[in-house]
Amino acid sequence: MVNKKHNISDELLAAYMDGNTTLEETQMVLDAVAENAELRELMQLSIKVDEELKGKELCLKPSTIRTLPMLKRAAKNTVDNLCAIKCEGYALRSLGIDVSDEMLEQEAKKHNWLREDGMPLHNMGFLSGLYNSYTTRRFYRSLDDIAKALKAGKVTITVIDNTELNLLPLQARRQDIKSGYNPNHAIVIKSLDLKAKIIELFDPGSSDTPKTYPLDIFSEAWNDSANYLVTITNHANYEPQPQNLSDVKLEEELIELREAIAENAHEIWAQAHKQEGWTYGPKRDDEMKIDPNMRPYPLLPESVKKDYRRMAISTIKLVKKSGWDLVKRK
Amino acid sequence: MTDLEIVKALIDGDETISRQFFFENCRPLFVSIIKIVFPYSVDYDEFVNEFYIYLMENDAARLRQFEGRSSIYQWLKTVALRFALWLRSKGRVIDTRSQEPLYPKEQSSYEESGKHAKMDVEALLGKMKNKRQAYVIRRHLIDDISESALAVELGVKVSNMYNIKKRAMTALTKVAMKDLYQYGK
Repeated sequence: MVNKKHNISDELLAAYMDGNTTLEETQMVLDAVAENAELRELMQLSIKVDEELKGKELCLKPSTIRTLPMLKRAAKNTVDNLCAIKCEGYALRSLGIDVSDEMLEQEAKKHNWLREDGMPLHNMGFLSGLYNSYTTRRFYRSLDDIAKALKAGKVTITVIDNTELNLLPLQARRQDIKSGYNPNHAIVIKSLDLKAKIIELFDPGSSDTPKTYPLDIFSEAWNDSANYLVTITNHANYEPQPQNLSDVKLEEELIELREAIAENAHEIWAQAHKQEGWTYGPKRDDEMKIDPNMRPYPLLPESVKKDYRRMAISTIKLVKKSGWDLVKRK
Repeated sequence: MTDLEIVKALIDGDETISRQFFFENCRPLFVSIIKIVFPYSVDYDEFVNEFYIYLMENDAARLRQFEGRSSIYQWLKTVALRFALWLRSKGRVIDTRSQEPLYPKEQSSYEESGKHAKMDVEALLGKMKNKRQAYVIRRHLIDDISESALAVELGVKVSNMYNIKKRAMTALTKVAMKDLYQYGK
């Protein structure tokens, strides 16, 4: 039993070991060590751990970027790999478009949108685009975004880790911490009640009726896809929303690469434009195919260069955000 | 990320950071603790899962006790060691696992006995073989010199003071324990 007077907290002990205690606190720890065998053992083990780790690279600073699971597969652990297609089929038919799941499957295979082990998240929605539907595919959506989409009459599809629908939230969190995120199943969201904290999900591939889940359970399962949301509608209401890449920090060398990418992008654009017969002129004239930007990159106005740079930097950041690293060869 | 930011992210249940932290960043530390504390084989995942629950239960009460008085490494090592020792003793709870603040400054009788404390620590400092380390502790603890001023005195960078102080405290602790085993208290 530890003497109350010499009851040394972890905070105090750790501060002592780092040399951050006052003289009185230091004496208190030393007295406690003298009186308490358990504390002595703890100190000895603590020193032993330090000695064992000496020379080993130990960094306790996690990187803060969560990569986007763009290429993770929906339908990875279901019986077939067609859940994303069945969800889109359901969406299109809901919008009055006469299309069968079999037709969609053929289209998906033809365009290589469907892989053997399922459909990459980023490819979801392309099929609907073939049928002139307005489709958005966004990560990091909120429950409010779902509510708004449903209210606007959009068919709303998301991807979840369907094993987590059967787990309590803390269990699901522990599973993710241990095994990583596993977005594996596309599902249609039928309704959402934020006040009652319930959500109604429909799985076109395996059920005829929607099922209701508590919001906290759904949220954990949805988190696995980085809150991915696909909305499909036949209304023209396109609102551009590029990925939020503000958490991606670039090394100095990659920032330098930005200018090279920006310039090359202009060269590609200008080459294609030239082949179509466009030439340089001070004022744009679509009939005469005259464009003031048909000149070398250094001569472009800053406003145009800025657009190219923004595109370049966003592209580099998106590559990193999607889980790749750009490594310079020596 | 600062240590406090890491702890906040863990308290908030940020799974990306939690996974990186417990299963990547801390792996060498926990592997070492498991190896040193347990005389039998203990599964890493099992230990980390148990430890995670311990830190996160009661709205992360244990984790919230981190105040930044030490580095996250030192704090986590201490907490994990105590937890491992507790696990090893099969349920015998160590008093210091209590969630109460364990150092009630206003009730401490040590504040009144500064002189006595000075003598004891000085006695130990006299027994330290590495005089530079003894000097660091004397200047920092007894003379109350700031880290930056001490760094100037020693001709080292302030950023290096963390390791210098840490090594000095380890040496002091070893001397104190040796003293104890030789002469008792």
